[in-house]
Amino acid sequence: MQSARLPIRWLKVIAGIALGMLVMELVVRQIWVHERVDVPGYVKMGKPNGTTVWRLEGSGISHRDANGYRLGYAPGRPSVLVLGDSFTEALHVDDDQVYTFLAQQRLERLGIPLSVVNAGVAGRSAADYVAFADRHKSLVHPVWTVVTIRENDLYEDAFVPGKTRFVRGEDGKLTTLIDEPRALPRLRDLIWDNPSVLVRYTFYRFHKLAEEAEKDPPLFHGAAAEKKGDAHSNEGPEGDEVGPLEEVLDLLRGAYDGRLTLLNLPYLEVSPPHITPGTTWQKVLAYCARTGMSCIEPTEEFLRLARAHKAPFGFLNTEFNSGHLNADGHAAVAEALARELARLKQNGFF
Amino acid sequence: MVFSSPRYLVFLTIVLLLLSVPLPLRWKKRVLVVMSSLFYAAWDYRYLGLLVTISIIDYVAAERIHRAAREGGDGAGQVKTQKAWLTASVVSNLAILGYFKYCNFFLHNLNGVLGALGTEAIPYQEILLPAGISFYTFKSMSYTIDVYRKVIEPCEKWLDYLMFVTFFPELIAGPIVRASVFLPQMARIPRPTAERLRVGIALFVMGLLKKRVIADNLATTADQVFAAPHMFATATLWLGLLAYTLQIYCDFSGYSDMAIGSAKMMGYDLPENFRMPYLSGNITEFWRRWHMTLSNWLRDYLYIPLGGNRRGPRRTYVNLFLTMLLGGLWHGASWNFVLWGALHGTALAVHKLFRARVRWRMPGALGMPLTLLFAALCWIPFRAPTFGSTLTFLKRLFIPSEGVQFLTPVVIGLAIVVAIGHLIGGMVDPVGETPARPDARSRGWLRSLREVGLGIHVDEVSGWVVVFKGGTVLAYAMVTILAFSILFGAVVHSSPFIYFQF
Repeated sequence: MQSARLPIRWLKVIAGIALGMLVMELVVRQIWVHERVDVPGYVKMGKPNGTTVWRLEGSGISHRDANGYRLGYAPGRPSVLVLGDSFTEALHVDDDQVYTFLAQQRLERLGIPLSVVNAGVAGRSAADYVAFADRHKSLVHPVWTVVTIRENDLYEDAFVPGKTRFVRGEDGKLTTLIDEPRALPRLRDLIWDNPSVLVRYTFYRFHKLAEEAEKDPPLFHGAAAEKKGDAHSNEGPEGDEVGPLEEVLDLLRGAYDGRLTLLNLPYLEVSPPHITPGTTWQKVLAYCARTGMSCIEPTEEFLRLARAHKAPFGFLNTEFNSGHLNADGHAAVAEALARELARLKQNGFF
Repeated sequence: MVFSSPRYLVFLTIVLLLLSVPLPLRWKKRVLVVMSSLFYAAWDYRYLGLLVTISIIDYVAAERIHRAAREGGDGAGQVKTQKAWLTASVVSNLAILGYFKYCNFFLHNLNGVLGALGTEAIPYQEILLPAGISFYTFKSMSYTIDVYRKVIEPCEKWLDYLMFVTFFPELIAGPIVRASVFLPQMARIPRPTAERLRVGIALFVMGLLKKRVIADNLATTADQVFAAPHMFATATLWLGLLAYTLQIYCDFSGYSDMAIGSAKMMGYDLPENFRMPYLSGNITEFWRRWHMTLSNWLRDYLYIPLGGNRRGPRRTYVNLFLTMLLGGLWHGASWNFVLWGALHGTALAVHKLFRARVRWRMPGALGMPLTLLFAALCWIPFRAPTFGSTLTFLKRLFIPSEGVQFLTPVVIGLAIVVAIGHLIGGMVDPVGETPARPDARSRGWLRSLREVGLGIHVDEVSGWVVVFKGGTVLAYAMVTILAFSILFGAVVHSSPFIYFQF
């Protein structure tokens, strides 16, 4: 009798867990559906021809074409290629709210029909934009290229081991190193390729929580770490060293034949409204002034938002003025980008 | 090591495994002392010495008090000896607490005066507040006072006393356990039983949900609004205040649940610390339901020694005010905490006066929202970083002001969850009844749910949570859903427990 009850109990446990997981699968599908795949000859990115649902930060549904570029560009027109990271990929807003689409619309209204192609991929940096320039150029044939950055994309993020990065070659010159795909898929890849959104999302959450847990203070010396943290709290960023910035900028310019605009997304203080120019960006501006490269920031547009008690970053389901660009932020960036592209067009750059 | 971290889960599992080994009582006590010391040293090993020092002082003082009482009866000389040892214990504890917690506050105020007199300021001391010092000094001090009052017998062995002082589940932020509650439990062999594990895990999970899902999500809004009240519009400030009102409750009661749950799994019972405080009909009731172990401590070791209500109405009001004022200062070395204590002290005194002079009793439907509003407004000086920002916050709260409108639905959604939970909790566990805990007897419709096989525990915050007891497919499904909800709802970057700073 006892032995007969045991399997029934376990069957109940298994059935209960399966039922719970089924319910959660349906719930998660309303919040997060995102497939990342290894694109041959390129990087791990949102699945080509795929749809992403992202309601973790903001709320957006995004669609991609066969090359993985975000839909919304107008085909059959001269193309402007826009490269960037998660701020450009912009999973947090719908296709028609992204600054690339809005800039294209603005240009259209100005009588400049262009196709603004969004090639943003989360986690990428200047090294990727250089390393994969040929791929983008062959697919898009851009008349102009825009690289959207936040300051660390040019330096810190472009030198991180484990992904595409800048390294010194034997000749002492800066070059890119593409992170080679692994011969055998790791467990995390197998989980990531799983058809269950629930399993993928669970893995994603564990990954995020584990990353955060790694930042816990050291065991038995936490007080010392706290003290050290306090001591440095008012010092600001360490030094103003920006590394081989000019070499990185040279490589970027060279990769896109000098037909390049750098678009910086500055951090905005809402009250009182102001933008403090970062050290790196100031050096970039000096470089641009010297070489004639097009460099822009949506400074005025961001300040206008602040004066209206709004912010370009943050969403109602996250935090005010923190995280990625919201719909207002995208509109502001689109305005600055459209203005610059119109200027370049009028001056005969393309 | 915080309860909501993976490190703690590993640590607790190791402790439970060690306690499951059939060892004699004295060895289990040693295991607990070692593990508790490791728990405390995990933050910083150097502060372990402070904990040991306090335990030695109070153990010796209590032992001498007891010896003097035993040897000399009530002779004047022996009473003097007892008083001397009691004074030594209280002064030592307060001196340690005063140095670590109030030294720089004192210097800051002194320097203000010296500055006005044109004298050179005294440099501040480099002091880092040892974790949990306010809690363990109070706990330890109450032990010698109770021995002096002959409420309890002192511990025979220092190891026993060290175990009481260092017991890790309540070491850092309470609940403040009296020796009279804990010491008798030390006579039995701690063993994690299936029933204790079930109840303990349910409480722990409940606390985790309150902290990581509710409190941490609310913290995002509360932190922003309190950091720059000048930036936000009036409506957003009210939302931020609501967020903090709920955050501090879920944060601290969540911590208490995790502490009580951890202890229960190990075989110990800690006192309840919260009982749906935001359902209180008046401020006196609020303090019977909020941080109950502290308010009981203040009542027994401060309010009553000050004379309580035995010296006439006027003195009673003064005593209430003074008790809360010092209670405020206990929370932190800042005038904002003093103001918070003064506001609550005044409210308690006014309420007592009102009850004495006026026959009319405020109906609960009016008293409850008014009490909640008062408690919420008092959180402003408690949370605001400076006195200036407290004033800015209050001014913009009541004078319609322009600014950032950030009416996040997250706060409203979580407020609804907490409100529904409170109301269901209030229905199941009305005022003065047994708290709604998984181990408490469920009543009425709740019991009938259990009878059909659904193990449900009503909690004052989440409304209900399934306990792994029902044995039905639905029960297992709901446990699965709860587990995923915590994993998905938890904020990745968790805020530190609010009461850790005290």
